[in-house]
Amino acid sequence: MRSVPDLENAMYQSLQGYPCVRLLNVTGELGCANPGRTKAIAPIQRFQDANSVQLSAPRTVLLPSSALVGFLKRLEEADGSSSSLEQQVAGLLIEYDNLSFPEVAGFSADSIFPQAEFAPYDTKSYQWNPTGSGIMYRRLNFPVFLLHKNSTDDVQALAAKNERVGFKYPLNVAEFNAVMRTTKAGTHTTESCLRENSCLPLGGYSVWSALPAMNVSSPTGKPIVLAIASMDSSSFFHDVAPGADSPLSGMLALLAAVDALAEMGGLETLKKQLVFLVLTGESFGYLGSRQFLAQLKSDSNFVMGLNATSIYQVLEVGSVGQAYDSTFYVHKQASAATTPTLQILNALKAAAVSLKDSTSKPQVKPASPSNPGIPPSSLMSFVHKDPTTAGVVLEEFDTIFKNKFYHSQYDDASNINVEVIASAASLVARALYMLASDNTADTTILKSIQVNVSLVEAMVGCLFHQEPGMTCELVKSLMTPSQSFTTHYVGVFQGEPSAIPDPYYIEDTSRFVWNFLADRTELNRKEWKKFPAQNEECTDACKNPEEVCVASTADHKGRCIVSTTRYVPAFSPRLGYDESSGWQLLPLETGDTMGAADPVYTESFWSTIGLQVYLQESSWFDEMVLFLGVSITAFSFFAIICTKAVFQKRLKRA
Amino acid sequence: MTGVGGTGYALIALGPAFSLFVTVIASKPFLILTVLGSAMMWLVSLIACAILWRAFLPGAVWTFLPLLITVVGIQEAVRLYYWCLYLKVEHFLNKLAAKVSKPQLVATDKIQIAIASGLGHGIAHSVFFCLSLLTPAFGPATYYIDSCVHMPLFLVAAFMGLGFLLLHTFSMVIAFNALAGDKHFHQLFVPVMHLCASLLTMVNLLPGGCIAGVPMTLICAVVTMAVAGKIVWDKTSTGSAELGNLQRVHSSSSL
Repeated sequence: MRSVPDLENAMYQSLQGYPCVRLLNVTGELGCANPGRTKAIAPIQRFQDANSVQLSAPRTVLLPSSALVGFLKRLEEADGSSSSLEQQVAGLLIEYDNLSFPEVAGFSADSIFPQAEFAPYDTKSYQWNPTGSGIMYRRLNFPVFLLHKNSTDDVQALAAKNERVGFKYPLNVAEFNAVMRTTKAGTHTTESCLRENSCLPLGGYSVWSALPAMNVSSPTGKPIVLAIASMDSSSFFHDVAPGADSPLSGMLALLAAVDALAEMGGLETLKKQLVFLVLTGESFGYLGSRQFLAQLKSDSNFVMGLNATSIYQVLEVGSVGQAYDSTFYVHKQASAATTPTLQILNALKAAAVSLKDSTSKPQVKPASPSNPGIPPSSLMSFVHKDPTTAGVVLEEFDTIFKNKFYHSQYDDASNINVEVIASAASLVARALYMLASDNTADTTILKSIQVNVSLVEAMVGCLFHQEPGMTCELVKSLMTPSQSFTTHYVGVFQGEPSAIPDPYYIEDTSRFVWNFLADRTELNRKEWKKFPAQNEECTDACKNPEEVCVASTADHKGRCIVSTTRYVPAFSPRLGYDESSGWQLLPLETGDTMGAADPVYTESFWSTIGLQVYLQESSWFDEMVLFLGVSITAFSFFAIICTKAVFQKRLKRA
Repeated sequence: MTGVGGTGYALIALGPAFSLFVTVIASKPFLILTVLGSAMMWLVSLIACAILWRAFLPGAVWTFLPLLITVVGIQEAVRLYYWCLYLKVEHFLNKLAAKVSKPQLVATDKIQIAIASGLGHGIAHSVFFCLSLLTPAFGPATYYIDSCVHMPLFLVAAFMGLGFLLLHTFSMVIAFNALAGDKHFHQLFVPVMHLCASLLTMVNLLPGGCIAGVPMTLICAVVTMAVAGKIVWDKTSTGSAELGNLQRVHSSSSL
C-alpha cells in the first residue's frame, strides 16, 4: 500500500453479482429492492441450507443456490408467526455454483403453469412446468444478489471470519445499494408509477420479415404463412436469463431455416407468402404477440403490407433444443380450423420424411390429445383473437416441459444441443417451403434445402457464451453490439414507439435479428452478391424509401437493399404513449380477455445498483472514540487554562 | 467508521493542538505567523529528507533504521538553523521596540514564541502523517493491519499523531531555553528524545507491537512535557531579581 487511495481500496471490496430488481404490475409489486431509501448494511452469515437459517440479529444471509427456493418458501410460510425471520434478513446473497444439483431435479423461477392466466382454456392448474417454483412473482422487501464465481469465494471467506470471532464486532458486513425510485416516490402500482415517472413499461422491438420481399404499398394478396419464434426469456435475476432452450432454441432454428430458404430460388412463384416474426416480451404477458396483433388491427405503419385476414397459417417454433430422441411434437388448439391446420401437420411430416436419410432422422408427432390445449406460447394470443386460427406450436416435449431449467439462470448453452436445433431447423425450413407451395412441392426440391449447422453453432457461441459473445464474427459483420455478454430479459421500452426506432434504444438481440433477416431476405440476393459494389452505402437511412440500410457497423458502412424487414414495437396494449404525458394505462376494453389478465409489468428506475463488503465497528465503539476525542480536547483546554493561571500568579507574585 | 468515529480520531490527534491554539496563539498575530513559519520550515526539512531518500524507497524493513536516523538528524539540524533565524528576528524586534519605545521581549514572550514554533512543527507533522490517513475513517468501514489486531489503524495513527504533536511542541520550549542559556544537558535532551521516540515507533512493526509502541510514544511525549514544565517552573520560580536580570540581559543583547 503506497497511498491513502490504496488504503481506501483495501478497505472496501466491490462485489460482482446479478441483482433481483423491483417490478410493478397493476395490483402491486414483485421482485426485490432495498426496503427504504438507504443502503442495507448487515454482517454476513452463511448457512448450509434453508432450514438451518436462524437469525438473532439483522444479517446478510449467504446461501448456496440450492437453498434459495426453500428459504423463500420458509419466509412465505412464516408470514405472521415468525415474520421476525424476514425482518432480520437485511439482504440475501446467493452463491455461484457449477450446477451440482444432485438432490434437485431442476430449477425454474417461473410458475408450474407459466402465464396460466393467458391460456385460452380453463384448465389453469395443468402442470406444464413441474419444476416451477414461482419465485419470480414473489415480492421481497430486501435486496437479493446472485454472486459471480470469484466474489463467491471472497464472501465465503468473510463469512467464515465472522463465524470465527463469534459475531463480535468488528465484523465483515455487506452493503447493498438497490434503492428503487418507486420506493422513493411512494408509487407501488404500474398506474401510479407511470404517472409519477418513476418506472418504465417492459418491452422492446420485435422483428418481422418477408421472404421473398413484398411490395408493401400494393400487396399481391397471397395468403401468408407466418412463422413465429421468440427472443426473450426471464429468470429471478434478470441479468442472467439466457433462455437457451426456452425459447431461443426456437429462434435459432427459425433463423437457420430462413438462411436455408434464402438460398432457394423461385419462392415468388409459390402460392403463399412466407413471413417470419421474431417476438420479444413474451415472457411478461405476451407483449410482442399481443402488440403485433393490435398493430394489425389498427393497420399501422409498422405492419404495412400485412393484414389480419391475409394470415392463413401460423407455425410457431418453440423449445427445440432438447429433443434428444429426435421427436418433435406438434401442439394445436382443438378449436383450430381443421383443413389448414392439418396441412401444417402434413407439411411437417413430409419434411420429416425427406430427412429420413439424414443423420438426425427427426420425427414429427401430434401432441397428446389429453393435453388441455397448446402449451404456453405466442400462439395463445392468436387463438384469443380468433379461436379458429390455423396454428401449431412445434416443441421438443409432449405433455410436460422437457426443459428442467425453464426461465432460470441455468438455461444456458449446456442445456441445448446444436445438432438437435439444426435438425429442427431443417424440419421447419422444409415444412415452410411445403406450406408455401400449398403442399405440392416434391421431395427432390425439399432435399435441396440444406441447413448450415455451423451457422447454428456460431449463433450459440454469440448468444450464450461469454467468449466470443456478441463480439463474434457473425454478429460483428452485421452490427456493433453495445455489450459483449447479453441477457435475454426483455428490459424496459426505451424512447417512444417509432416505425424507424433509434438504434440506441433497441436491444442487441433485436438488432441482430433484424440485420440477419434483412440480409437473408434481400431481394435478388444472389445477383446482388455477385456485384456488391452496386449497393448504395449508408449509415442508417436510405434515399429510396423502399430500401433499408443493413449491416451498418462501427467498422464499415451498411448497404441499401430492398428487403421487407421491419421493427414492430412490443409493449402491453393496455398502455398508450403520448408525447406530452408519456406512458399511461388505458381503460380496459370489453371483451379483451388477454388485457384483463395482463399484469402490465413495469420496472422501477434506480440510480445505481451496487454491492460492496467491508469491516465495520459497532456503533458503540465509534461513540467511545468520539467521547475519547472530546475528553482529550476538553482536558487539554482546562489543563492549559489552569497552567496559564498558575504561571500568571507566579509572575505576579514575583 | 462514520462521521462519528472520524471526528473522534481527529479530535484525539488534534484536540490539544486546537486548545493550545485557541488559548495561547490565537490572540497574538505574531504567534500565528510563527506557527505558520515554523510549519513551513518543518515541511522544507521533510522535502530535503524526501529528496535524499527518494532513490532508496520503497525498501526493505531494515532501511527504516538509517531512514529514521538521517531524518531525525536533518530535522534537528533544521531546528538549529531555525534557532539562528529566531535570534536574528528577536534582535530585530527588540531594536524595533526600542525605536518606538515599546517594551522588549520578556521571558514569557519567548516561551510563547517557543510554544508557537513547536506547535507549528507538531501541526505540520499531524497534517502529513495523521490527518490524510484519517480521511477514510469518516466512511463506514474500518481497517486493521495484520500486525496490530488490537486497535484499528486509525486509532494508532491518532495516538501517534497526538504523541508527536506534544513532543514537537514542548521540545521547542526546551530547545529555546537550552540554546539561549547554553545548557548542554537540555541541548542534548531534545535530539536524543526525538531520536528515541522515532526509533521506538519501530516496535509497531512487530506483530502485536502496537500495544507497546503507542503507549511508549505517549510516554515520551509526557516526559518531554514534564521537562519543559520544569524548565518554565524554574524560570518563573525565582524572585523578581531573576526577572529583572532577564530584562537587563535582554536590553544589553538588543544593542
